Amino acid sequence: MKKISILFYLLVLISCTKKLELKPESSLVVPSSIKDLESLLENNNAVMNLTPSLAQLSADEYFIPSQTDFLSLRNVTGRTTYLWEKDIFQGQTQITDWLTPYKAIFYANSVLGVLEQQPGSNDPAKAIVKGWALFVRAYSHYALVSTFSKAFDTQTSTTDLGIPIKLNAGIDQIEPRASVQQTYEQIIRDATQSAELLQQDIIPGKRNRPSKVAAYAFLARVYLSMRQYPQAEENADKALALYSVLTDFNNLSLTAFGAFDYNSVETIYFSEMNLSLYTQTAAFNSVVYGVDPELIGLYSSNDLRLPIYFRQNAAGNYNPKAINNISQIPFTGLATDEMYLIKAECLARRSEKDQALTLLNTLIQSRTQTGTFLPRTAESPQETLELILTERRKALVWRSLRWTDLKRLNLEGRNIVLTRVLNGQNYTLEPNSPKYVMPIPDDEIVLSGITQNMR
Amino acid sequence: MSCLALLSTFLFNQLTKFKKLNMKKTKPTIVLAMLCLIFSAKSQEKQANIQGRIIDEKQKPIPSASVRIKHTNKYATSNTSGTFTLQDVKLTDTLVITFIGYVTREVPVDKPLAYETVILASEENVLDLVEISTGYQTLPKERASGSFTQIDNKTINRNVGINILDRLEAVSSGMILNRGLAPATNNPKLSIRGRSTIFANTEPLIVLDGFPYEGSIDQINPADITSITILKDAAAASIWGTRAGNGVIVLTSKNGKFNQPMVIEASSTLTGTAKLDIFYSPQLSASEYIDLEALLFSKGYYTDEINRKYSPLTQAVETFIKRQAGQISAADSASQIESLKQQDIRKDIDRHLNRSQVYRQYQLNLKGGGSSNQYYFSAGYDKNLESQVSSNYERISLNANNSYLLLNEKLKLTGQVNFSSGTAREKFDTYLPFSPYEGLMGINGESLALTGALRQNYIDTAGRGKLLDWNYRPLDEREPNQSDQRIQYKINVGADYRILKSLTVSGSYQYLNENGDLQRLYQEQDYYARNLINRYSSISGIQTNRVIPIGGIQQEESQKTNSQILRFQLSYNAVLGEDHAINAIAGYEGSDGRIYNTGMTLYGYDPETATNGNQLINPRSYYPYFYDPGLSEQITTAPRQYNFTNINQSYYTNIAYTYLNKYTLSASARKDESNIFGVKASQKGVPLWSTGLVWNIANESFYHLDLLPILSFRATYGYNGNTDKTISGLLTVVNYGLNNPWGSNYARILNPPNPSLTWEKSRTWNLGLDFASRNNTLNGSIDLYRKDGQDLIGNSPIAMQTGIVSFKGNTAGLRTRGLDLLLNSKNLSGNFQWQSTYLLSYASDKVTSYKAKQGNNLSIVSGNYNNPLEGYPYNAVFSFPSAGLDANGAPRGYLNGEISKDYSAIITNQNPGELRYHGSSSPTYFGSLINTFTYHQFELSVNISYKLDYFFRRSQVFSGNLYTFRMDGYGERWQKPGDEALTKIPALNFPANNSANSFFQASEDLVEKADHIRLQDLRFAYSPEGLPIQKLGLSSASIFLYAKNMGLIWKATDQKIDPDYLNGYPHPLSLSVGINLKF
Repeated sequence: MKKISILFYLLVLISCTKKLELKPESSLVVPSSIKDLESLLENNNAVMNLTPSLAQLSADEYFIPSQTDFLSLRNVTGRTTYLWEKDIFQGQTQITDWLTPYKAIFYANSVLGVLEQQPGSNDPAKAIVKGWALFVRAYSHYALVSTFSKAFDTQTSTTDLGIPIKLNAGIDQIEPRASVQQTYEQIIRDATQSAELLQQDIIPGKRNRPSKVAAYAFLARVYLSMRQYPQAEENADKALALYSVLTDFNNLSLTAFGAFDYNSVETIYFSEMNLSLYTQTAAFNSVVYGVDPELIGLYSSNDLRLPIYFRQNAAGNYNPKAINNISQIPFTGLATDEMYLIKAECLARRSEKDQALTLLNTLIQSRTQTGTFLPRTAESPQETLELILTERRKALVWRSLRWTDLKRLNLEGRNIVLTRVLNGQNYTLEPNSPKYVMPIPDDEIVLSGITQNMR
Repeated sequence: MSCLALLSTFLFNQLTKFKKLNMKKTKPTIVLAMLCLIFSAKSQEKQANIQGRIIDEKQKPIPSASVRIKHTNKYATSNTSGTFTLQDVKLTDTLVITFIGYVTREVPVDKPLAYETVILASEENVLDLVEISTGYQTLPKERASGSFTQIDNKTINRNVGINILDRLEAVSSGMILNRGLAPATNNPKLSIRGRSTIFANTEPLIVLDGFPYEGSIDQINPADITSITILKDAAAASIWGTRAGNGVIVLTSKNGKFNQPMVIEASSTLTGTAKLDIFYSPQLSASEYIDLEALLFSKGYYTDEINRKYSPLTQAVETFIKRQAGQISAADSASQIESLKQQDIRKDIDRHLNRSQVYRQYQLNLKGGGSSNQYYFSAGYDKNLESQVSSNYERISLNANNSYLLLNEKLKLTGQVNFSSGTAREKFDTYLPFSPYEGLMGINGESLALTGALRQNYIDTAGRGKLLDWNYRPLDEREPNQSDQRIQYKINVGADYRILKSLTVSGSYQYLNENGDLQRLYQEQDYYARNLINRYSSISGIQTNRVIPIGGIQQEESQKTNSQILRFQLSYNAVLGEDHAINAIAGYEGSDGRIYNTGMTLYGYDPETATNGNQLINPRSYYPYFYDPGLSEQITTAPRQYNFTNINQSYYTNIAYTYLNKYTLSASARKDESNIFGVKASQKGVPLWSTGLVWNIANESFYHLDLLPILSFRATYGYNGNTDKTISGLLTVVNYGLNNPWGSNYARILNPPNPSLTWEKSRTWNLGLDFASRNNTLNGSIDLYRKDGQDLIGNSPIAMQTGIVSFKGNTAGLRTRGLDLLLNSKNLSGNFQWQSTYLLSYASDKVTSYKAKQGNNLSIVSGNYNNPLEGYPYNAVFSFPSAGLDANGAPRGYLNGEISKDYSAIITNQNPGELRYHGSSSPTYFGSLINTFTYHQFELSVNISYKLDYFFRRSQVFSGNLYTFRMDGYGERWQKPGDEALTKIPALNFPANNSANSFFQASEDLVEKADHIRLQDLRFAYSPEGLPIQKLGLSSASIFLYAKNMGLIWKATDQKIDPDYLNGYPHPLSLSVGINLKF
């Protein structure tokens, strides 16, 4: 028996019990530190810094020259969206335009969940991470609501269907669609809180991260889309007060494919289009689509944006180059030029004609060949507004902003009708048509039972 | 006459003694002993000279058998006529008679006789007497309640495969090699008794010499394996706990025997295999494809590629472009097209890139033992020339096993050292044709430049001579550029100490180290290196700026596996009184397995000096492509590293109690703990148990059925387990050390929190019957089983608003039911013998619970395994009912019971009731019939295998909406009105309608019955005997011919498809010739 008990002691000595705590894989982490949480918010691989592409596909910044070109588009959604068809996904599932923003929200909520369980939030680094997560949540909810819901309209916003609002990472909770009103309220609440928590300045070299500047700039964009101009102006002011740098386009290369990179100085917050192989949204050098010639015609010959933003293709049409980005994927983030335009538009809307023109001219001058700049003038605030809205198209081209502009401006009775001509046939999109609201992917409807949009 | 009487008394005594001694049941047909000892004189000194003769069951003498006096070094060897002489033998001595391949016999010398004839029974005929090994203990089979299958050495050696698992195909009931199942699904290479899980590990546990084998299976040389035991049910496998959910394959290495003179065995096998049937994989002929391209070209399908200038285009499209631009005449164009139509790239691949396989196997071993030691040494060498000219494989294996008995046989020490080194060499990026009419070799034997990543007329002018040659010439790159070497050392040591007569304590330890080194070198002149260097080059003036320096590119991966296992065990084996027997074990086992992976890429690599230019590349920069500045990429130069840790510890016990040799009750229990990530300590372990019963009906006094002298009934019940270490209970993040464009490290969420995560369990019933008829002309077993998988990990789809598309949790249940039948019959005996083995297995699984809702009918048809439907098998085959083609050749289906062409609505329909269910894609019935014919020294064995009641879906069939050339059925497509009555293949449609394509690929028109019968293999052996063999100093020799992959005898489908080879090419006919020599 003695031998057995010696054996028993030996056994206890060599047992593996302590080792059971070892991680099975070196790459696995249960996130807790600031560094762990930051690494989640830094994930730009199909999660962060991405916005939907359906808006750009549906808007009027491009055209497809011929039926042949149209038929050569390999992605079915590229074709159905161009013609504003009812069923744009044609049975495809896991549509990233819907999924990716919710993935970003899931990450943000996971980060917020971890922070909530940690007592004592005096650590300034924690406040910044919390602000960052809230910003991501707001930015992603906005990406969804601007694509899958009607534009904000005070008349109907409490009954119009918004999107499911996700405020925690629990995957067992399925949310119904909130109203448009509730959705925007949540977006503004999150963005406002993030503005309080985030560090003031843009981090040079890390423009994928938000800052106070970004939170204000984002709020300005959201309020503008809601046609709440005083609040839009207030936030554009706050943003511009902190950061108002404009690039002199005379210092940029006219011939390079890209004059920009991931940290272009005008970029306040970087995001890009969630590309799903849609030929006509990326900055491909391709003859199957071209930038709308009418839009190209708006640029005067001394406007440096013409050679810096565009290149001519083999068919003589224009394709976009990389704008505020290094790759072919279109930039959709926040930049100072947008703030100038929001501020100018709001000024014009409250009849501050001269202030609005000064701001506008500052922007245009930085885009114009040195020595050729002629300041814009206008007779009335109304004329100023028209001028600014045209400049807005030229400045913010290819950033997915045209679609939300169309939605909001048509609500003001501007009556913009979109037309496509294909194979001798005309296709039109009437103002305020239900087709301005994208269908929610079928697999979401099936699994969560939320209400589909009527198109 | 008195001598005869004496003899028979003696015989009877010996028989009964033998029986008791071994606690084994002897079968009456096998004559174990016939003795006639005649002692000469010297009886008063109780010493004698003994003469004897050793023969086999066919009365043939056995030469070179060893006759040793137990506990001495005194021995004799039988001569060519099988006779031997031993002098001065004490009457208390025992003779130990051994010969390789035969059951060792001990014959006590206690009767004064002088001449002895000993019949040795060949091992293969006494299989049922051999004890079975569970890896923890060996048990007498008649007391084992579990469902075990023994595979003897002869069966292992029937097949010549270099992988031990390949040799198990179609020779064991309940086990199937899963050929033809979709590789994307969670299907193992080999299944034992169907499925018991959905998403967790599906591979059976492999145990080698008592320890779970953590190395790669290719490192085991089958020639070193003496026997295999397959543990199938809960009682058999529960001793292996959570790793036994998919069954256990216990491999036992060869070893020497005590008191065995040294035996040397040498064997060599040469296998030749025909070339792959390159025409098996369907594709459009050059002519068909060019016509299709012409049509697509006229519709502008290629516009975008053409205008992008660098996108690759086929030779035919280039010709159309030139003709359209007026650069060539109509006549030139026509003649160019005509000449392309004559080509077939498959002929060139067959001629220049493929070859017949040649496999060579050599093995030499020597084994034997003295009274207190046994040893086995072996060396093996394999050299394979694979079916592609650039691929080959080499393996060297060395083994040494030793055991010693010390301290008056109370202590047994064992030591085992194994070394193996396997190297696979191949060309990594094999050539994949861009069109069906490419040609590898020009008319003058020159290597042709073919379409690579870029368009030919682009690379002809790109860089105007300032770039490296950008042509892709596959024929120049047929040398292997990748070597994957695995070197393994394995050391086992063990000590068994008998504390009391029936109590043994043992300790054993295994250390395994396997280093895998993969090196892939693209030489400077290789297309891969030139293409990459050019892609990131830029030209300013006369200067070429290169990001990647000129030189080779070397990619390296290394994987080091380190595993240690330690075990302590107490074994108690006792016979109490006449009626009670107990076999019990209890023990502890701990294991620590680590895997370290590293990898890196070296640019500008010079193999001569082993230097590289990685420091010249800025890994943070985005480098634009030469041919499209709009595309840019980072070039990673940093090494990658990741590690895995696998810690397990287990406490186990197994007790069997036998009463009156009629009733055995067994019970086992085991607790497993593992380093599962992110769960509470209490959830890291799981207790599992099983219980069983054996009733030897034939031993009952009331049993008098002479026809079936052996009959016993078995029943077991218990739990097996399984784990999926990839999921965790807490919010888990995986950080691969990747950086985003802003230079920050980022991580990915692996799984959302799941506080209720538990282990998978499988509750298993097994009922079995073992029987043998008189004279053993018919014996066999039948087993019925049922496995209920509970708390299985299920991959539930979830609404995208949660941020994920699927969620893994313990949501599913799966029931598998089956039957294993084994029948052996001796149909003819005498000079011409005929034996048959018949195997039949039935296995059918059904998902009993799956909480998640299905996406739509298309996801059920195309990916049921992602998301199995309740009430159907995991590998269920569904389809959309088809209404055939309409008058324009468009496919038609049904929507809400009506014929419909609304493909989008059909595929997104959410009512599974509108689908057709065919069956499983895994055979429900399978087995084989092995007939063996023996005539004197010749033996012929034929194995016919069958797989029945299952289905497959044809893939890559022309749907009218797919325009690649790797398609089937294009020639049968609808082409003119009226064709709809003759064909199911739709008309060509442009532009492609994705929904129509999805519908057709999933329609019932493409589902076929997979049932087939195959001539599995054929083996012919000649074992010469007598003088010629002895002259060469051999004790035995055999030569065999073995043929495999001879094709199908019958199949249910009319398609030219072998259901076992739905992906890739069928294994071509292979012929082996081999020789085994024993000295």
